[in-house]
Amino acid sequence: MRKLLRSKKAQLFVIEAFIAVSVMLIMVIAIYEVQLATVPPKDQGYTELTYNILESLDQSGLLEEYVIALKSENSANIENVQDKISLAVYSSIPENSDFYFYCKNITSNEVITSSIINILDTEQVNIFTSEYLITEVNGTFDPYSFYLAVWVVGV
Amino acid sequence: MNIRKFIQNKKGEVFILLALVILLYLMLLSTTIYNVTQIPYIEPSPEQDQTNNYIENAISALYDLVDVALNEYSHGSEETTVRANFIDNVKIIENYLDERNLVATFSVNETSFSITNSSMSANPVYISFKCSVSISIISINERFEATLAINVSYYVEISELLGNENYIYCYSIKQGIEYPLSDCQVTISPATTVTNIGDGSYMADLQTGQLIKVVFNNNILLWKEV
Repeated sequence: MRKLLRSKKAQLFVIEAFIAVSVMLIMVIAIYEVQLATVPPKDQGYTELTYNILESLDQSGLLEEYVIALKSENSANIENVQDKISLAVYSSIPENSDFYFYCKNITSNEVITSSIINILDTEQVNIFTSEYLITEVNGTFDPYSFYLAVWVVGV
Repeated sequence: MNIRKFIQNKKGEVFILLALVILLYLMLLSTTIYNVTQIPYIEPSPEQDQTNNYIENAISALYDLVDVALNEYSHGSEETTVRANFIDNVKIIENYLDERNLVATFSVNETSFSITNSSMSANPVYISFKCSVSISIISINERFEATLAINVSYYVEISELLGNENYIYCYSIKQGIEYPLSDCQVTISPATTVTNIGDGSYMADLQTGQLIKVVFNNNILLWKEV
């Protein structure tokens, strides 16, 4: 081995091999660089979007209406508000997106099963979520939190 | 040594190649490191966005509690009871934030707390809530410290009695901004037809001596004598 390294040819071979490996490494770094520059950032404002949707649902009185409907345990009332929420959310998220929504009673710390809208697609990589707290229903202290998850299908 | 000779030389060629490769190497490496370290500052991380949302939500939840206090007071609760309930209810927001790894403290300044209900014959009649709340929310990314001077009032006002088309105006003033309220339940006794115009005004044939009952959408109750 020592003899081989002493030979001029062998030395050149080692240097050439080093250059070849370096070129490959440079290519890998370059590809990573290009990807870094072209792949959009993970969030893209979706987290903000989910929060804004919840905030506008609150401002339009739909969250309160939903709690009142859930308390009434009248399925027609619940479905009616669920349709309104679905319409509001779908009109606010991109076309190729879907959502998951539920309401949680803060006092009992339990998710209200009948409040769940849609099924959470756990296979999606980028799921953007937000929570929203309301402390008053119909003028009475009654805390509930709402959870909204949004994902872009196929991304 | 002549440069041409140096380049023609095998060793020289290899040296230049090697130098170029190392230079390229360093350039790419440094830009990659720069980009990687700068990414979190170019686009805030989702966690950071959430902190701001939680702060915003906590303040809106606090205003919900103001409506609860006004509702209680308008239905006859004592000021001391309303104040005690308000201070107690604020803890739910603290706990909610604490569970989301945000260390939150809401301190209600009891001396600044005032809740008033004006007389029935005044024009306008109002119910008003004033209080200052110190808020401290600490997360890994942010520290939010503020003192919120809450000033919320609900009003019922009537127009000058002229002919049979008179108006009742329902509005709230929150932090100095007036909001017309078009979703109130307005009833008059003796019974008179009330038409909701939709812009916070309600039309009715008002007569002196009538009593107007207004229930705002959060159940806050106000009475107004014509």
